Amino acid sequence: MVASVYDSYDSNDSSDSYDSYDNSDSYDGKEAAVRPLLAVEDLAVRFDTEGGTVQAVNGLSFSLQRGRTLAVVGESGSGKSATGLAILGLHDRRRARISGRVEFDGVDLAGLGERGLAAYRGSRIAMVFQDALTALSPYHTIERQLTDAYRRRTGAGRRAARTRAVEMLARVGIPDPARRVAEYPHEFSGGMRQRVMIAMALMGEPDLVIADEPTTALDVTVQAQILDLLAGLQAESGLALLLITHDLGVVSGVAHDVLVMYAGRGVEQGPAAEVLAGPEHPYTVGLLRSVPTLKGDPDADLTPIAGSPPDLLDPPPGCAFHPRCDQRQRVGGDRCATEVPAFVPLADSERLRACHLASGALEALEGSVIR
Amino acid sequence: MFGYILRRGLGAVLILLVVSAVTFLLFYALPADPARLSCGKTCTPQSLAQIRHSMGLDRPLAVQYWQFLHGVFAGRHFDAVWCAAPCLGYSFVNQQSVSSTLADRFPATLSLAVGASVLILTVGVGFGILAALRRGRALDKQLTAVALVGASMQVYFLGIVARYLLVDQFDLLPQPGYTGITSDPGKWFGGMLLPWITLAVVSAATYVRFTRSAMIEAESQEYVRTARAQGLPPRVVHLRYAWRGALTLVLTQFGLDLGVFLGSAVITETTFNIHGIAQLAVTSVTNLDLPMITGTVLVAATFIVVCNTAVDFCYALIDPRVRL
Amino acid sequence: MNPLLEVSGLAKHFPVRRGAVLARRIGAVKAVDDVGFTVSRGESLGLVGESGCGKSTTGRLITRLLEPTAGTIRYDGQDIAHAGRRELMPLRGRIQMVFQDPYSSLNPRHTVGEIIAAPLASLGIGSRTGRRDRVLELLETVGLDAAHVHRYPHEFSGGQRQRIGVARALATEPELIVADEPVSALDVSIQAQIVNMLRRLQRELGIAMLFIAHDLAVVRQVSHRVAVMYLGRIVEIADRDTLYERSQHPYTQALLSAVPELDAGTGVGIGREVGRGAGRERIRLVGDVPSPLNPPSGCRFRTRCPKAAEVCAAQEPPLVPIGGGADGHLTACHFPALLPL
Repeated sequence: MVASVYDSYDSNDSSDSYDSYDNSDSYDGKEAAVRPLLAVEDLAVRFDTEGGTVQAVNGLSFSLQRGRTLAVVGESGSGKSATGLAILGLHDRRRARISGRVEFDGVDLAGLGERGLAAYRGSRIAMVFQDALTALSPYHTIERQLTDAYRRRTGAGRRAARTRAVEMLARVGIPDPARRVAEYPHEFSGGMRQRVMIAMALMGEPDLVIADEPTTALDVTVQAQILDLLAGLQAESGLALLLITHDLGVVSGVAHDVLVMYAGRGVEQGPAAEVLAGPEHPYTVGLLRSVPTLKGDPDADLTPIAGSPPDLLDPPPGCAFHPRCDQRQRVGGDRCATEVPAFVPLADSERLRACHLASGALEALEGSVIR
Repeated sequence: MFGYILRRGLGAVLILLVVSAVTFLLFYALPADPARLSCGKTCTPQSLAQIRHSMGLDRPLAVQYWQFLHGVFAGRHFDAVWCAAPCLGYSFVNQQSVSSTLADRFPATLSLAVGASVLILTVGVGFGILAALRRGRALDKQLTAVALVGASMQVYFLGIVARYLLVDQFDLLPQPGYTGITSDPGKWFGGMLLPWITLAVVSAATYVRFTRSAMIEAESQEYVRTARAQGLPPRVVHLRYAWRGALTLVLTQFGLDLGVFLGSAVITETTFNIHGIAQLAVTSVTNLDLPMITGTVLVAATFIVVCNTAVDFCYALIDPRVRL
Repeated sequence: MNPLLEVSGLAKHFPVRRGAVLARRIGAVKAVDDVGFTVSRGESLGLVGESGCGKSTTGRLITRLLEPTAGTIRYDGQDIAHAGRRELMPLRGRIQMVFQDPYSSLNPRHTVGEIIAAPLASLGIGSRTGRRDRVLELLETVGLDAAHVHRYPHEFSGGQRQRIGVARALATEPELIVADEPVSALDVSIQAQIVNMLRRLQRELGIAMLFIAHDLAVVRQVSHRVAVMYLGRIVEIADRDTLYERSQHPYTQALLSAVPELDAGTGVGIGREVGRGAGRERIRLVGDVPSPLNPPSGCRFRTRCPKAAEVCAAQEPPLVPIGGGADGHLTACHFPALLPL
């Protein structure tokens, strides 16, 4: 098999289909176009542990439109994964306490029980997890795992469900799907397994896909394939994508909007291009600067953020980032250490930020943000 | 698959050879003289020598062992008595060939083992799953408490108390004892009921706790979360996805426990006066009946080997990643 | 001058057996197959590749945590490929390793001081007090508080733990450090701290380094020269700037092109002028890396290579100099070429 091409990344295709989807107003009227598909308000996720209560997510709000990709970015412990799980109520209910609103298409999912949520899970909202090797059952065939929920939901027969599973596997680019559907996850390579995960998410034609670090466990050449696949699927069906990632490179490639999280809170949000080009929060600036790139000066040192991520059992008072923040002196008094900055819109833009520093104060630094 | 069975079979033969050789050696090392025991009170040196000769004790150990092996495959003579293959020896104490005694006793032990295992697994695993799914709630706490009490019981204590209360005092259960299943199935069942229940209460308790923790562990697996994320109802998530993961753990434990069960069979058979192999083993040890001891040890070893093979087969059935 | 480390024809084949009792050999995973390179004193060589390419195995062979199936590992002139425990003893202090996972590579029951002093103690270097002073000095070198010497690993964050791992590696003043994915388990903001530290130490102390990683951008930051591995072989090796700017092997080019790049200012997002694609020729490889149990004939990369031709299946391309090769740029490809701009 020698099937490979120098394939220049063709953005026009996806552009066209995205636009046509947007313009066709295929979902009803103006109101729906304005009302977001997903609106999260004041979401909080707390875990009770032996050492005390962990505030994994703390007063988080954001919204997501159909056909758009919102990347939720943060380092470990930022609460990004907890947010993804909270939307579908997938946390262990014995340990996690969730408050706030998760409004999906007009319904508050946070107020629903397991039974109510089951109607959304896998059908209107699907999840793609990081490591398909552990996220797929080693004991069941791909067919079983893809069709179990589908048959239950649609009442489809075994043969019909199997046909659909094969279709979905073909759609995500798995060769010889009719044969492979009968195999077990360990018989697939890493990249193919992640495609199976995506095929599983597509079984129910979801409106929203929550992808939690979908490419982190993959090699870089395979990661590119999976990102292309997700982008292509979005262009085809207009689904909304909530992409949870730690990789700003991934954000830059596929996201329309980005939400940067730190210690359970949103610190900056806005169109990905604008945020990445002109970050307004010192943490975003620090994050962008610490990433090594293929274009920067390899002989110059990287610019890391000083210190370590906060202990969530005992987070710093005030702005959780203040112990690591190099802009702190520029804020008057001791506000950073005492007062939690509000997550508020910046004047005249779609962007939000939670920082005591005056807007635009970081502008002077902008030129040097991305190395 | 065929290769696997062949290798397993060869391995089993090797194990049984070693076990029988070790039994011979141990017995030889004992200071007591079995011929002296068979000889009785009015023992003359001549009759003692006579008995020694017919028991084969006057020959070197290696020769004795060789004759034993020969008997297993080709049968052998004990004085005038012909013992057909597979001949495990002849018990001078019982005046009976070992194989036929074992064959007489085996059904009782098998009934006890199979019945108790079924009860232990269904009750233990069932309540274990229930406790795991209701963990932290009242039912879980009650089940855990009952399991704790059960696990701290001993068969001889519980058995005697239960027999006194349930059988002698209130006549709720029939007298325990073994009747051939072919001769009277009803009586067989009735007689085994109390031994089964007693064994189950004592051992199932461990399985309640073990299954509970295996299930809780399986519930935390990511693929179980994936199943939930697909919108599958809790029943399917728990019993089809989580349980599959817990099953391997429970099975491993069961495989390891088989030896322990053999030990408790001795106590159970003695407590309820069931004439099974375990009881036979005890009496043969008291009587220094070497052929019979070797026979019971070999049966026990065979039992463990066969069960472990069965457990391995089950692994391959449960987990597609396991290849035989 | 002789290189500090000279590896040639290095191979490690792991036999694959099936069956429990009478296992028979049904094949071998050729994790590393005919690998050769040199590292000079004070030089940093980056070893990059995707999972299963054999880069970590190579690192373990050089530190002799594994014994090679074939080949030579010349360290300071002495072949240590099959050296026994006794012969390796004096070398243990001269070659040290830094591991990927800062959580599992430190013994949780030992204090930081004990962990860092362990290599010194096991080689019998220094007195007890001398070792203690050295530990305090090392803590400072890697940017940790000397007052924390009696703490246990779990009391430190991931980045700090990796600093402890580095301090332990530095304890015996080694000439060569093999660092296996030392920053891949860390968050980016912390990763930058450790990368800077490794770079500084490598340069200031003049330690030679074999830096094994999958992240091309990180490798670029710490290496003088870079070798790219694929399915157990080196496919291209060159000095840093040549490799990143004028690579000749299609696999290297694909790897570089697959790195999602932060490229702000050109706009991002699907269906727009895509930032990461703009102005850059993108190469998409199809499929995954084939199984090393049964690698493709001829050139191992041919099944995913856009340039594959008949000769690629028939003949394995040798690792040879490109155009004179005065700069030490070697490529294993039948059709080496610069990417068209």
